[in-house]
Amino acid sequence: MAVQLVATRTAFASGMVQQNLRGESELPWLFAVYIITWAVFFGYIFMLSRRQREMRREINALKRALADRETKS
Amino acid sequence: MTEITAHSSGMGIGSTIRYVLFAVSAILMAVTLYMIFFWVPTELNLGVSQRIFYFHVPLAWLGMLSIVIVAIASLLHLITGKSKWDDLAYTTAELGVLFATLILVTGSIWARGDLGWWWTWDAKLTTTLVLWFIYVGYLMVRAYSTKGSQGARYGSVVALIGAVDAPIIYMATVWWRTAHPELNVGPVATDGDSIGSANIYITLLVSTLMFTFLYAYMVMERYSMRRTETALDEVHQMFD
Repeated sequence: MAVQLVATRTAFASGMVQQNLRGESELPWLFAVYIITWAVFFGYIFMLSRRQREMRREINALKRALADRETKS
Repeated sequence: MTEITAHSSGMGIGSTIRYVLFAVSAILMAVTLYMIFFWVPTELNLGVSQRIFYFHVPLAWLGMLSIVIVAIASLLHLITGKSKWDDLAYTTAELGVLFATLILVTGSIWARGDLGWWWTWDAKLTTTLVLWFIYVGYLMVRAYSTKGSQGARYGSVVALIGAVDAPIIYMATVWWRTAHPELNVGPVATDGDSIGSANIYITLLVSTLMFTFLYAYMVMERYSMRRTETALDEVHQMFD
């Protein structure tokens, strides 16, 4: 009975070790997913902010062109 | 010009809603990360890599929601001819590409870590790849067709045809044998008990809420910009 209990415990412990080893080997994949996801979101937001700056410049140029037109006429 | 300035300055109730959405999604983002890494237990069969599930599933839900919004907005544009619907369709198609790319990338990394392969031509993966091509196709049609209403009409037709793919992706595990598990989230879920822990459900729910708020914020922000772009195009056409 005692031998069986020890054997069961050993098997359980080795299973846990295997699970932990597997867990550790999977960690880089887990972090890769989280890093890539946030990098894509921040990259997209950065792209939007650049586009917004360009549009602001475009609007200012149009305002100047309109003002020039009005002063000439 | 006043309309363009109003769009670009972003003042008013629209910007208040945007700030609230951003703040709520930022708070939920911190809560979600805490829950995923410290609170939810490790799933016994799938191990640590199962935590990818909390990003992969919400991204998939929003990737499919996008094509539905693109199709509805395109249909409304075809019926009414109003540019605001076309701008909404374009905005959600652009975000759809982003989310569809992330569905494919996160799924692929999860499969590599857990099953040892990057890609297999199973029904769910293939139909999701088709969704990605539909989004890219829509944006390419818009980019290469003439500016104005004709390009928008071509894009609308592509979107309406492409929307058929969304229910096919969802039902893929029911109709075909795939590497994905049976449906355990959604209206026709058959395998709800397989998730096991209530903590897993709660974490998935919070993560889905966080991504949905973030998505709503991004739609509003991009839509506002798209309206300005459309108005600027109109002004340029007047000058030319």
